[in-house]
Amino acid sequence: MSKRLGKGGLLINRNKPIKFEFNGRKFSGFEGDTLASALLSNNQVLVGRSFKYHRPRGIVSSGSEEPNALVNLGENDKFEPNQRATTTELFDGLKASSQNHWPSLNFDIGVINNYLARFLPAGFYYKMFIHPRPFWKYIYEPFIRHSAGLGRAPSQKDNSKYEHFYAFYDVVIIGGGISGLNAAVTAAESGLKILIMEQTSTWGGRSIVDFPNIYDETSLEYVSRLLSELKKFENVTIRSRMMGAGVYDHGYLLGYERLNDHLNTDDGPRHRLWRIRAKQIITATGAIERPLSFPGNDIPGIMLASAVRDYAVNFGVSSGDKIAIYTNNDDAYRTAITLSGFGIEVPVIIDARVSGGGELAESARALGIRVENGKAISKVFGKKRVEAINICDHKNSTKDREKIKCDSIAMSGGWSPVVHLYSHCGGKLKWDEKLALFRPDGYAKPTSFDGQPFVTAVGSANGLLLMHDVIQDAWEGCLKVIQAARGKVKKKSPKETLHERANAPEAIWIAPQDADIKKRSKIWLDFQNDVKVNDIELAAREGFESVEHAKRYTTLGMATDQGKLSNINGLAILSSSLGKEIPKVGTTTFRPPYTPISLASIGGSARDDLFQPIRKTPMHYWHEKNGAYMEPVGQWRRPFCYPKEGETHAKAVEREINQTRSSLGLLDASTLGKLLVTGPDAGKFLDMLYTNLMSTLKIGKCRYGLMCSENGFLIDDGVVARIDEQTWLCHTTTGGAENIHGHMEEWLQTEWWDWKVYVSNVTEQYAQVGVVGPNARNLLEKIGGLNVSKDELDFMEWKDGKLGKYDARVFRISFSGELSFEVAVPASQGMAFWNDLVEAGEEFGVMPYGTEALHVMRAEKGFIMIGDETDGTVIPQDLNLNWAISKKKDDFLGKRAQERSFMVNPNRWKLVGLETLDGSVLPDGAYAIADGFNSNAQKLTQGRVTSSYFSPTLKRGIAMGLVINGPSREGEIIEFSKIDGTIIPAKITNPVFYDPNGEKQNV
Amino acid sequence: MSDQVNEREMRSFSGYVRVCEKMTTGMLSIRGDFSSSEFKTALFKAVGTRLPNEKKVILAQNNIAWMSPDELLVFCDYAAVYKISKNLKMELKGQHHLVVNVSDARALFEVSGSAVREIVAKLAPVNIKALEIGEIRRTRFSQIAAAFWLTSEANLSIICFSSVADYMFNLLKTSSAQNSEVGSF
Repeated sequence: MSKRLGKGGLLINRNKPIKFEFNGRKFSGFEGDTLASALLSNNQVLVGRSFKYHRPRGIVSSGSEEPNALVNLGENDKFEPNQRATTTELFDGLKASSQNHWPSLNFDIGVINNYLARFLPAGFYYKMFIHPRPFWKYIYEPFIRHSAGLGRAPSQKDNSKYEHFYAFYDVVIIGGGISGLNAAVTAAESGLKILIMEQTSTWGGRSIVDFPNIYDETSLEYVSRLLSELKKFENVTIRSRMMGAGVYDHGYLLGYERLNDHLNTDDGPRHRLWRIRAKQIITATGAIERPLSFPGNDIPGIMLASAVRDYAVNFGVSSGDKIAIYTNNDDAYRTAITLSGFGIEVPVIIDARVSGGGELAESARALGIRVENGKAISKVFGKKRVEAINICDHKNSTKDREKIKCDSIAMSGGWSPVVHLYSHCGGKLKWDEKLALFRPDGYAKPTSFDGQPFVTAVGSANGLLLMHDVIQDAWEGCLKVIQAARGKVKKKSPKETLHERANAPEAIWIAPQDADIKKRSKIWLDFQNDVKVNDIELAAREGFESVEHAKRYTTLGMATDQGKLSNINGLAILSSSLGKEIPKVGTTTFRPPYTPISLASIGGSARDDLFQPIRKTPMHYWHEKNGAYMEPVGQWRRPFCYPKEGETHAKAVEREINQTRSSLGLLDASTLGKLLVTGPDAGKFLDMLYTNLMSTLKIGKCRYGLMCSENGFLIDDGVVARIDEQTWLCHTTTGGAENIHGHMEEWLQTEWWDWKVYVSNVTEQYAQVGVVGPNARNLLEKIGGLNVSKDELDFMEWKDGKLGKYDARVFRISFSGELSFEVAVPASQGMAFWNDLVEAGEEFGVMPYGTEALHVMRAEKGFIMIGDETDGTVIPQDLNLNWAISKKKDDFLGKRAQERSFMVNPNRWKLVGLETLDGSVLPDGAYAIADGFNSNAQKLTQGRVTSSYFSPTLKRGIAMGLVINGPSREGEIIEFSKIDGTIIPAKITNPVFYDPNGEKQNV
Repeated sequence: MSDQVNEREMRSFSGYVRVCEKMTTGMLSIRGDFSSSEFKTALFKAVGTRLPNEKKVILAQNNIAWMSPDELLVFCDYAAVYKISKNLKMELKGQHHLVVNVSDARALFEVSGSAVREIVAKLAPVNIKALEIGEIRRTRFSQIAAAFWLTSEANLSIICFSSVADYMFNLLKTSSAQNSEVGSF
């Protein structure tokens, strides 16, 4: 059984027991434990089920590479699936449960897939679910959906806090092991700004477990001395529990900091995403041990050799009572030596190499541990736990030599440098034949904007596995980085050589070497996704020769661990199946993030109130308080209507229109764009931008204008007011203010750079209120001040002055067809002004109206709306707006385009009014059908509805639309199709439905 | 111009820095030819200040900020905007220029405390460590346009459009919440 040892445990505090729950059972661990070490200490080796065959899965590793020990963590708003037990620090009250099983972890019905394994080979889904076709939708897909996924989806909203942090450094070092720390110390002296980050809570990486002494200090002393040296430098930032998640172009780097995952608290942000710009990046990310590929290598109790000694040294936990070691390299002997030091029985060390190990092997032998060279494990006994093994000759497996009892196996297939971050941005790898690993190619590092390398791997991440080489490489690599970042280089070489020697590993991709098909189909490569040696071989036979194709066909490396343990073993099998060399097959692409990061950290603080900025007018809160139903218009929120209690939106709109047309309505028009254009060339400039003449506009007058793109299409409209000799105020649509400002600046800065014109966007300087209806003038006169009589302020004029106590600019313009004023006051006076209007308007039954009433009233008047009647393909001529296109001007934006053959085609769709024969409302966007069919057998069309409303004024549906030759077909009846296939006939009319002579607005 | 008729409350929040919205600040946007000595003279006469250097704010009774190669922003008492603007327009007569009151179009926030640089680093993609006192940056704070400058090591001023003042206040409030210190500066 796995258990807590009586001694050991560098990271745990035995005086601080911690209670936690796993699958509803209460357990206890110690402060400093990970969830994995605490589970192991309670003999909970079985922690989950695999994805496809639901095979029992045990803890395999001690770090972020873990494929098996994934748990549902937390409850309710703290719930998160697929959390790695090996990187989850234990805290009081932690609750976790295992995944992917039913009804229980111990007894899982889904394991039946395991016995059907020979019917579920690689590509099974692709082959099986293609026929018969209709089965996919009704049978296969629902079934697959039901069985897919490991953890549960959270059912509640996550209430934790997340944030971003922008940081800039000269050199960022990722990894706080021996190479990272040495690089940081070297870099610190350069005076450059340095950040060093470590993904775990502790420093020193593997060194503390693997090397009792470094130079003349213990490894613990050595690491803490380096750390305290670093802390003295003001130019060095040190962060633990922060993972280098991804390296991107030009030195952009994401650091994922987990602030309180290890605490039972809601204080402060949970995760912080560091968005870093670095001149140079050093990846000191170490290496990951590879599993060995032998029959039954997925049975719980089989772990990486390094993990077995990590649990013993760091947490005082043994993975079993009798732990067999299986290796192809010297490193695993450390595990035997360590375990022996703890008094744990190591029945045998199986070394695949006939020549066996070096110095470490001698030490192990000296401790009396049995070593078997040139041997392999041919069979593992046990289902949910290792019980015993059979050993055989590595090169001849026909005869089992011996059955050895053990309850855990520590395996080591060699080491793979963590090249992920180095590779994210294009760093190339080379295959090291001697060490059997992919290492960064020092001559093909990722390059930055200047073509110079900006990511350098050092230490084990650079393929160096001996302590002295690691320290030397960190120093050398760092010197080059300092030079590249233009820091001061101080040459201080590391101390004298450490004595360390190891025999070369032997690349063992399949064990025993001659394993038959029966054995090969029990050799797991990807533990989480159940990909076995025979699956890869099948993929190769079926022609999936590219490693990327084989990956997708078999799902190798596509699990949540992204193949940290399985990829190299898998591609070695693929290359031998294809008869190619490993470097010829290559690796799959390494993509960020290194391990999954929370989606919430990517969102940062952008949630709830901060999800997106909402632009608010000065009267915004009045609208909200008065029951307005708001709609988004650009980034603004505008009242759609103000429904009263029990009133539908349609009824509210009707009421608002009727009241406005019969007496008085108020509109918050503050969102309309207001661009101030001034300068000696401003008139000339506006004549180029608008289709009509603005330079001739008299001071004090207003003119409606159209703006087109250089392709002639209508892009914006609005009323322009001449303010003084050199100044015009251009109103734009609500959504168009920023675009039109940008449009103006672009022409001024790129084409007419020598014209003397300044543009300022003063939209938000003003609160603007539409005072609309037959009583509009009465209301303003009641407020008092400025004379707004017809004689003093005629239609399409404006005036500055005091209105009551307010600094007002009153425009007499109308978008509703009624007597109407738009009054602009400084934004800070807006709310008070609105309140006064509402109060003074009471005697007229004043009502605020929203955007829908505005739309209906303008449609009743046949006024176009940018975005309804226009869609980027409509020119002013289509809308019968020829009157607003100057024929006197030599040029304006769009003039030439509007003369193109397509634009002057007499058969263009043109604006008309539409009236249904039965008074009903046409569906918005409906097409008018014509006789005949096109080449795709679709009905031909002859027009479409652009705006359609119920008009409370006319008490019937009204619509505007674009119809071929529309204006000349007035009175004709055409048919519009509805989505349900039925037809509505409608009569083509003049688009002005209400007060065609404009008598109402002109009083 | 009459007194401001202001209904909004002044907002503040105390986290590990203090955030305060300044409601009654006059702001005047000026555009003109910086290379012209007449422009500089006019500026001096009407605003009482010299032209700020590129990307700098002159911290004086009336702060004046460089906004672009031909744009300045003057900060003054709300009530003084009209007078300064009138004088400036008079002084600039005959020159191509733009002087416009934007007091109500902008919101001004002041953040104070020892960790003000850190608050910027949470929201704006700016190398805040390298920013000098009196240097202005036009950038974004999370999703909105903003400009900011340090008036001292512990005092930060930020301006944004007034329609998104709520968003800016909430951003600053969230970022300065207790227990969210980064502590890397």
